[in-house]
Amino acid sequence: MNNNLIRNFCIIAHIDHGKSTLADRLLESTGTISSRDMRAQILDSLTLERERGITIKLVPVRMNYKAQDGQNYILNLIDTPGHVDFAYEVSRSLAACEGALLVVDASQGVEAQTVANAYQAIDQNLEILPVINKIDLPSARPDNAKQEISEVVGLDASNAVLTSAKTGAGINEILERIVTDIPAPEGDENLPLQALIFDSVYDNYRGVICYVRVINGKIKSGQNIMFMSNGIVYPVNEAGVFKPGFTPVNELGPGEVGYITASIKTLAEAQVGDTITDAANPANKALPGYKKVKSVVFCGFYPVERDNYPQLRDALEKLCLNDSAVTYEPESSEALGFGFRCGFLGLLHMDVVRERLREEYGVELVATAPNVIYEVVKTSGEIIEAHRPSDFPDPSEIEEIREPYIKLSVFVPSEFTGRVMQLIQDRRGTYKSMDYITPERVRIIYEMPLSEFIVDFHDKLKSQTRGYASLDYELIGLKPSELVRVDILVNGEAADAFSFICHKDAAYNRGHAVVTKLKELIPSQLFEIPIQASIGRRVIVRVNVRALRKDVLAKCYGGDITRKRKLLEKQKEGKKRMKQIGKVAIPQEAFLAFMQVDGSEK
Amino acid sequence: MAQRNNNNNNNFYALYIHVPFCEKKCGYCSFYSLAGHNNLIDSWLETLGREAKFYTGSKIKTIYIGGGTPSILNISQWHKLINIIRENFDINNLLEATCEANPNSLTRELINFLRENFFTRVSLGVQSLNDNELKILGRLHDSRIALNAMNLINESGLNLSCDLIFAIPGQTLRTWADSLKRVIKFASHISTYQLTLEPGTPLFSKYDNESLNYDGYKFFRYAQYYLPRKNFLQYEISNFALSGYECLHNLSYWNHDNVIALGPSAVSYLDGVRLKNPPDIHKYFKLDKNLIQREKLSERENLIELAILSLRTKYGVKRSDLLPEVEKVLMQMPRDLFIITPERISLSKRGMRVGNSIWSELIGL
Repeated sequence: MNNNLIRNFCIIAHIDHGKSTLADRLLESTGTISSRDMRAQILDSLTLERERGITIKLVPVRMNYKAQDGQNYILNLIDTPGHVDFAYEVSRSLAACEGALLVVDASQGVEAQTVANAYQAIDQNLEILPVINKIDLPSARPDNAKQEISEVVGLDASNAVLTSAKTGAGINEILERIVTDIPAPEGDENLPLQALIFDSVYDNYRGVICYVRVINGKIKSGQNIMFMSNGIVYPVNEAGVFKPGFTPVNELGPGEVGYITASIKTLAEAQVGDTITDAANPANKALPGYKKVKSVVFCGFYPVERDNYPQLRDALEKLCLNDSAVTYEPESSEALGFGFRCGFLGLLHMDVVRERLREEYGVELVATAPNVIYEVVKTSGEIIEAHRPSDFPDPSEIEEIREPYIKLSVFVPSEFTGRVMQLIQDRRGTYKSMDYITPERVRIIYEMPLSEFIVDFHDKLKSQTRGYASLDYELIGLKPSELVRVDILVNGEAADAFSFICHKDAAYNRGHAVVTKLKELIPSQLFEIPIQASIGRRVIVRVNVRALRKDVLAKCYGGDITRKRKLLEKQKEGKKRMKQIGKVAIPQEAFLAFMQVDGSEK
Repeated sequence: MAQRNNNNNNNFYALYIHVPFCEKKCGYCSFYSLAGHNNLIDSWLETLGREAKFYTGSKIKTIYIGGGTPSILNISQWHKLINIIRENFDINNLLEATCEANPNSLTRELINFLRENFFTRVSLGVQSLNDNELKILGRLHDSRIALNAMNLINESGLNLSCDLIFAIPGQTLRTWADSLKRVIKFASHISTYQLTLEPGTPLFSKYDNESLNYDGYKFFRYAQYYLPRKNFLQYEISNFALSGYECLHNLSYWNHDNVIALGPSAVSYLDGVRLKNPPDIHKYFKLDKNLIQREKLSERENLIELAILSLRTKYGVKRSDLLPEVEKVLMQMPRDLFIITPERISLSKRGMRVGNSIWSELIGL
C-alpha cells in the first residue's frame, strides 16, 4: 500500500452542527454504503447514540475514492464524539489522523466546542479544513460563519468548503479537498512495527478488538505482537479494515487504519493509547500515548433488586471493556445495599453509561446523586480525599476544604448575557472575562465549582437561553471553599444516607428541601417523628411527621381472620424491606427521592 | 367429609350459617353471594342438612345466620332451615340467635317467625340514613324503608343491631352524625364499618382513592366520641353496644372459641383448626373434604393471633396469655395506645384507631 494514497481524517464540530449527517453523505458519495442500505447516520451505531443524536464511541470507516487526478485513494474517517464530556475521546481520534474537517453550522456560527475542538486539533498538529454546513437553510450566513472562524478560532476560513449535508451540495468538493489539503501519512514499512491503539471494543466471541493506526512497519495475522506498556505477547488472529463492517485483510501497513484481534481477554491487557510492536523485532520506543483520563463526576449505582448485584457487577465489567473511561469500585449503602461507586467524565457520560447498562445489559439500577471529590485539610495537617459526606471529619478537625473548580466558557447571544451571568453567579461562579465575538454574540468566561456545574447546570443554561447558549469547560484544579456537611436526623438518630455537602450559604435551603421531602415520604407511625437538619450539633431546620391517626379499616369476623392475618403479614414484609433508623422505618422511595431533591431543588 | 370430633373441652359451640343469596350484589361487597339464583336455595338447604349431620348433637350457645341476605328466604324455606338446626343441634342452652336482614326484604311475617322461634336479635343492614349515600352504595332501600324496618323490629321486641358504613363518597361529618343520631333511637347495638373498596367490586372501579374519605378518621373519631355519650360502649373496634347487648356470637371469634360454620365460604374454627368451605355453591354441593381449606397454626402463631384478636375488644388480652416477647413489644410502644392493668392489656381509644400498626408489629414475632 502506497502511503501517498491514504488520507486519515476526522470530523470535529459542535454538537448538532451536522457532523453525523455529513459523514453519512461522504459514505454514500464514495459508494461505501449504497443509499438503499443507508440507515440514517450509520456511524452512530449504538442505539443510544441514534436516539440522542449524539456520537459517543469512535467508529472508524474506510472509503475508496477516485480523485480528479485519476488515482484511487483510501480515506479513513474516524468519527469523534461531539459532547464536551468526551473531549478525551476526541483527542484519541485526533492522534490517529493527519487532518480534520472543522464543521460549523452556517446559521449558528462558531460555538464553544468548535473552539475547544479546533484548538485540540491544532495542538495535535493536524491540518484543518473548515467546512460551513447547512448552507441550504434560509437563516444560513456562511460569510458570518467564515468570519467567526477566522476571528474567534483564528484559522483562515476564506477557502472554507460550503456544503449542505442534507442536499449533498459541496460533498464532492470536500472529498477532493481531503485529498489535496490533508497530508498523506508518513511512515516506513521497513522500520519495526509501531501501531497506536486508539480504541478497543469487546466482542463475546473474539475477545478484545483493538482499533489501530499503524505508524511504522506492518501487522498481519499470525504475527506475534507485544503491547509495549506491559510486555504481553499475543499472536494476531486477524487484521482487517472497517468497510464499515469488520473486513479481514492480509496486512496493515504504515498509515493504515484498521483493527486486530488476538484472543485478548481483558481490556486491561490492551489499553487504549498503548503501542503495539513486533515481539520478535520490537521498536525501541513507544508512541506518545494519552494522558490517563481522570473521572471527575461520581455516583453510586445500585441494583433495584438487591439480588441482582452480581448481574450489575458483570454488566459493569463488560461495559468497561468498551468504555475505559468508566471507573468503578464496590461500595455498600445502608439504604440501597451493595452497589458500586462509579466515576465518569461528566454528567452526560454518566447518563449514557446508565442507559447502556439498562438497554444493552438489561440491568435496572438506582443511581445516586452525582458528586465530586473534595480535599479536606485537617487541623493536624493531614490531607484526605472525601468522596462522600461520611468521609468528612468532625467540623472541629477541619482546617480547610478544597473543591474542584472549572473554567467555563459560554457562547451566547448578547440579549441573554444578564441571565447567564445571574445563573452562574447563583452557582458560586466568579467572573473572569467577557468579549464580543460579533456584535450579537458574547463569550463569557467564569470560574465555578464543578459540584455546582454537574447538578443540571447545562439544562438550566439551555432553558434560560432558549437553547442558544453553548458551553465548554476545563478543570482548573482545587480551590478552598466554605463547605459544610449537613446531617439529617430522623427521630434524633443520624440518617447517614441523607447527609450532604454544600456551601454554607445554601445549607438552610437545601436542608429545608430534604427535610420537607422526607416528611412527605416517611409514613406516619405510632408516634410523632421529628426530622431535623443539622450542621455539627447545630439544628438548622426541623419538621415533624405527625403520629398516625387511623389505620383500622375492616371488620374482622370468622371468615375475615385468615385474610386479615395475611394482610398484616404482608405489611410486616413491606416494613422489613424498609430501612430501620432507630425506631423509624423509612421506605426506599425516600432514599430515591432524596437523590432527586439533591439534584433539582436549590 | 370425615366425622369431626365433638368432644372438645369447650362443650359449647357458636353456630354460623352462610346464606349465599342476594336480590342484588352491593357495589362494595366482596362476600360470597349470588344474585338472581334463588332457584338454588332448595339445593343449598338440602346440602346444609347433610353438612349439619357431621356435627349432630353439638351443644350450641349462639347462632348467627349471615350472608348474603338471609331475609331473602321465604317462610317455607325458613321452616326448613330452622328444622335443620333443631334436628341436628342441641339448643337447650342457647344464649343468643341473630339473623341478618336487609330493610327492603324484611317482612312483618319474617319478624314474627323469628320471634316465634329462638331468635333474639336482628342485624339490619341500614348502612346510612341518607338517601344519597344509600344510592351511591347501590342499596335497594331508602331511609324511609330502613326506618320502617327498624320500627317493626322494635315493636316485635327483638333486639336490633344496625350496620352503618362511613367514608362513603360525598359523606360529611354532618350526615354521619345524623345517621348515628337517628339509629340509636331504635338500636341497642351498632356496627360501624369503613367503606373499603375491594378490587373486583363495581364501586372499586368507579372511584379512585382521591374521591374517598380514605382514612375515615373523622367519622370513626366522631363515633368514638358520640356513641359512648349515648351509652353505646365501644366493646370492639367496629362494634358499639348498650351494656348487656354485646354480640356474644361475634365475641367467640375474638376469643378463639369453637365455631361450627355451615354453607359455602363459611369458616369453622374447631380446636385450633380453621376449615373453610369452598366459596362456590356448586363445589359446596359436593361436600367434598378435599375442597375444604384447612389451616392449623403453630401454638406460637396461634397465641399471637389470639393476642391480636383479643386486642380488638375492650376486654383486651390476659397478660398471662401473652408470649413474653409480644408483651415486650407492646410495652415498647407509646403508652397512650393502651390501658394497662396488672392482669390485662387493652387498647385505648387511640389504640383502637391504629390497631393495624400495632398488630403488624406482633405478626411473626
